[in-house]
Amino acid sequence: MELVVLALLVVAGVWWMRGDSDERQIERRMNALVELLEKDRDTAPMLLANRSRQVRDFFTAEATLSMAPLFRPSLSYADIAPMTFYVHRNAEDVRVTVRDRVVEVAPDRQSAVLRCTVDGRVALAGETVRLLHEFRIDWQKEDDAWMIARVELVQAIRAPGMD
Amino acid sequence: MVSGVSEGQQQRKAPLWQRMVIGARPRQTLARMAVLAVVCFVCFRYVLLPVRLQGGSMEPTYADGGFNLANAWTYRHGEPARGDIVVIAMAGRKAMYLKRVLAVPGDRVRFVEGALEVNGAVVPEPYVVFEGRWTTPLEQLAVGEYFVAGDNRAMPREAHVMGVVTRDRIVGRQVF
Repeated sequence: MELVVLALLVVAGVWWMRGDSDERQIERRMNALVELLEKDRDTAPMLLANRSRQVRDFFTAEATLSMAPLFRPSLSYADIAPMTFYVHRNAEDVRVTVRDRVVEVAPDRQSAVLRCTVDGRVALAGETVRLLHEFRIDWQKEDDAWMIARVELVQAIRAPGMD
Repeated sequence: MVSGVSEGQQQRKAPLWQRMVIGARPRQTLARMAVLAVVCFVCFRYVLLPVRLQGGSMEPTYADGGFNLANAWTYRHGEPARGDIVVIAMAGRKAMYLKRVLAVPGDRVRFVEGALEVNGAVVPEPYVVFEGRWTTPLEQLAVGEYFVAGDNRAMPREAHVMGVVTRDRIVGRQVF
């Protein structure tokens, strides 16, 4: 019994020692972004414009989003807020779950790559559309804050005719 | 003082509820539980992967919301074959695709008005109940590439994830 308690204390200590690591900061930023991307049926329309700007603030000014085959061509920083607003205004309900997150921070601790599977459900005109895709998200440290520099949809299954 | 009290005496002294819940020998029960937990962990993490089915792309073979197991050891000493139903990993193993292998490395494959053509010959697909009219460009599969699709062809092509997948993403085969 004592050994079990000791092992638990060691695990808790290691967890605490990790502190506010870059990996945890990125995970927290990702959680905050997911929260902003989601939308309830009762979300006030007045909030949507502000929320789309908040989403944009997660990205660097040079950010690019390569989302083929979902969206073509690539999106840029300027497209993020209008695109988010458009989706939120037209969808009745948006749910986003991020699974299988793996964060790799570069040795200089100034950039990182997050690989994950995004499971999105968008209720549109009474029907729910499910989008399940793998993403590679490149993060960059700007003024001590982790910002998204690039988003790329990774096609685990490549659609016919797409090289 | 515990010394001098045999295990048999302890067993007799244990109250009924204890004998019912954790047995007369708690240490042995705990050891058995630990072994069982390790066996289950290894089994369901590395050998038989639990799969909760979501979405209708494999209907009617697999219904939305069903449960299945994927055998991750099937392809340790073999390769996926045409007709196999496989699970395909994305960033990890918490969310995966479930698809049927339609063509294997070296094959030329396409859909023409809903009919599957492999190496120039139309392949009958008795498992397809919900037919569609997909037409796709011809794909020449390289080494390590497989062509996969779901059984529900009535879905719009844009809403149905299908196409070429590399061998390293195929995790295992459906058990039942």
